[in-house]
Amino acid sequence: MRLSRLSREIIEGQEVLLRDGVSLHSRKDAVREAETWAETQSNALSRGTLQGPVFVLGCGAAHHLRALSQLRPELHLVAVDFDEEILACAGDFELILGFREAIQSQVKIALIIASQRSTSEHEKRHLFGMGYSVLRFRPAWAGFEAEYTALEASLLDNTPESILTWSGAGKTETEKDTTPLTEDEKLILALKEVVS
Amino acid sequence: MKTLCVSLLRLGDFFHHMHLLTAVEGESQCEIQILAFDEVKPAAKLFPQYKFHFIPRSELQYELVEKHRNWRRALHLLGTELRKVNAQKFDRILNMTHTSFAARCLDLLNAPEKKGLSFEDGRVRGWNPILKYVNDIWRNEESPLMNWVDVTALSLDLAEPPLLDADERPSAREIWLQPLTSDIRKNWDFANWQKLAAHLSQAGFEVRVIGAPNEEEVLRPVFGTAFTALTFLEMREQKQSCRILISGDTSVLHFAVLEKIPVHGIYLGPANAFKTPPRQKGAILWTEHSGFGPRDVAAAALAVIQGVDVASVEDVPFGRINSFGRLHIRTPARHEPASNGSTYVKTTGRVSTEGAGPSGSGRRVGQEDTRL
Repeated sequence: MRLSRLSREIIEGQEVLLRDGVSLHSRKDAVREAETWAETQSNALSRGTLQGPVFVLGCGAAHHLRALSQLRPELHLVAVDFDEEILACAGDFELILGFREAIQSQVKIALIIASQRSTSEHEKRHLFGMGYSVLRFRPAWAGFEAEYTALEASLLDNTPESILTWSGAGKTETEKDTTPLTEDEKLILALKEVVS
Repeated sequence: MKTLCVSLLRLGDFFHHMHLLTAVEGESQCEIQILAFDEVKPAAKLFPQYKFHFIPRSELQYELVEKHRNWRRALHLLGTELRKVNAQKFDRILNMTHTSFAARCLDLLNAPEKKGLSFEDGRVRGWNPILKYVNDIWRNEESPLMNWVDVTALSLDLAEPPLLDADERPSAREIWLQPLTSDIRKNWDFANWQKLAAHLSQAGFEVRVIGAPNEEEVLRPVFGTAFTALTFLEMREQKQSCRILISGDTSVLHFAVLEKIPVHGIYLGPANAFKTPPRQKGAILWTEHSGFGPRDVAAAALAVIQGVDVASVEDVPFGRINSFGRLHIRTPARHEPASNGSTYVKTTGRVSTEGAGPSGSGRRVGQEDTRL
């Protein structure tokens, strides 16, 4: 894990949390920023019957977590951060070690310190059973953009390999003609009809 | 023979499929199970004789479309459900739904015999001349000779399901109106329904405007105490009090047919009275082109109740389901103008339509009829 340095500064009368000198939330009005973010995310989450926990990538000073929790108290929020020091800044959220444990816990807002390894296939299969949402709070990604991007792609299966699997472009024409379809390939063909 | 019937459409279509299940049952002694979308769940308890399996369509769409969800969960959900179905070890699968999704699902379902459109290892199977006719001709026709139930039965080598008769309910004093459909284009204007209700009330009938419990918010402010929220189960329990149901083309109409409630249908917008008519002998249907108004619908309902030929009291064309299940458009004989020259008065028959105007040329049905 890359080392980073968290610090606090008072800017225009507000306490601002910084990582390696970059602020992890708005320098001007962190609370308003959090409320706006929470409202937008809440609308997105309301478009269907929400299943499972909500992973929020980026913890920072956790204003946005409090705002979303206040707006949608029924949500099971799991904040994810790469910085162990964040624990000292984010408030009294409970630290959980892994995604499965976070889901099983009854804590309203749990905090995971993500390791660099992404979630394993086995772990994700388990997560699929209950479903989950992934939200990003990008201001808090400062200093760990690459790690967060990789984690998000892994949690949402938006990796290049996954996109090839969905599009069916991972096989050559000869392979398509000669290789029987796998169950996943047949399922993808059916699901494409659901959204066509 | 353990048979899985695939019915992956909407609720109204599922009620149509119930006619086909009768044909399947009549064919041989078999245990029937049904694979349907979860929106059909409310109907499952109406048919306890069948075991249902459900595909959560809206959840699949949610997982696939929302950017904060992992699309592979949809794979997980669909795969899990279809594996559960396969665990039943069916002898035969009948695909009553000739959609690509249903056919793709059949590629994942196992049975020694599959009828209807399906895929096998990604390639189309089960294609027959009837399905080709449905795909190439029937679906583009406005008024085909065969309705959807008949053509589906034919494509599956099933006997044509019998038309249902409505039960006589001479003592029932209620007329039920179902104004809302699932598609705004199929809806008749509320003002027309209100006028229809007024005409029927004047004739001495108690009018109940019915709707699903979740439609109360829309219907209660318009229809007040005349509105009653009814589930399908409650509809079945209370059906003896209903003399006639007048409804748009919606699942309630097709369920009423199964319950032998006499029905009159108002088919507007994309509703096609030739393709998906109520499968009830003698049902009266009103279509977009006839320029009908609330008074016409009321007069026809009262004529049917009084045993009078609807054609003898109507000035506008109306449809009637004949004994072959096909919609027959009846064009009434020309009526003499009334003395005031502006309206027509029908003098024969026992039902008075005095005051009814001529068929409104150019009037758009579905909008409020300002004539009455």
